Amino acid sequence: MQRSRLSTASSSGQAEFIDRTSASFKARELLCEILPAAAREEFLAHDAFHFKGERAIYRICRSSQTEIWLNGRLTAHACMQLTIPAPSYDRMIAEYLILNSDENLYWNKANILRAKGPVLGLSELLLIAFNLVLLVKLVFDCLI
Amino acid sequence: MALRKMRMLCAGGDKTLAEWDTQTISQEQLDRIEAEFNSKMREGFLAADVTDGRNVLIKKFNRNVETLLIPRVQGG
Repeated sequence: MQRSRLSTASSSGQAEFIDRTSASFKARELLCEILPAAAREEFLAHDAFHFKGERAIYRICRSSQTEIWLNGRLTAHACMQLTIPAPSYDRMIAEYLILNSDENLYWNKANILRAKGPVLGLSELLLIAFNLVLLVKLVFDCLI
Repeated sequence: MALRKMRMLCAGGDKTLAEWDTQTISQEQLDRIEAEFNSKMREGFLAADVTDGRNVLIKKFNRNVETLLIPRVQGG
């Protein structure tokens, strides 16, 4: 098996042994071949890259779901898969090519999950209401 | 001379389905490659023109472009 040392393989900067015949290596090479220079540099450094679309900015990651950023806030995650078993880099290629060409198709195909934000849930609202009642009671008791 | 390929994403990373010289390829060979392209499209594949950073989805086979076939995608 052909093995070689590739110094840019990880974001930690440590050299790793890479199997140049592996599916992952081939898919990674193809992704680097396809990406524009800036995105390729970002990908080599962070194993993820940003794509600026018309609807949002996307952060396409190898090991996690794609992040969708709107007005500087993480608003959702997108999950898209190939229907065949393939390296994660192939999924990144597919996501990039679809986004670059037809963003609406991406939104139709991917599963979009709203990111958990600082929005208050029912339990937090109940706790706030309970505290307000206690506060009113305290003020009322002091006045009487 | 311009060499062109039709590749497909697969479990092995990618696979070259056809490779040709745009100036010397015969019509018969082109027809065969186009038939394979159309067959994949009917299966739900997407196709992209990845020539020189164009990176756009295409619907029809073009002998002059580098083609990358993407298997059907779905929400995860």
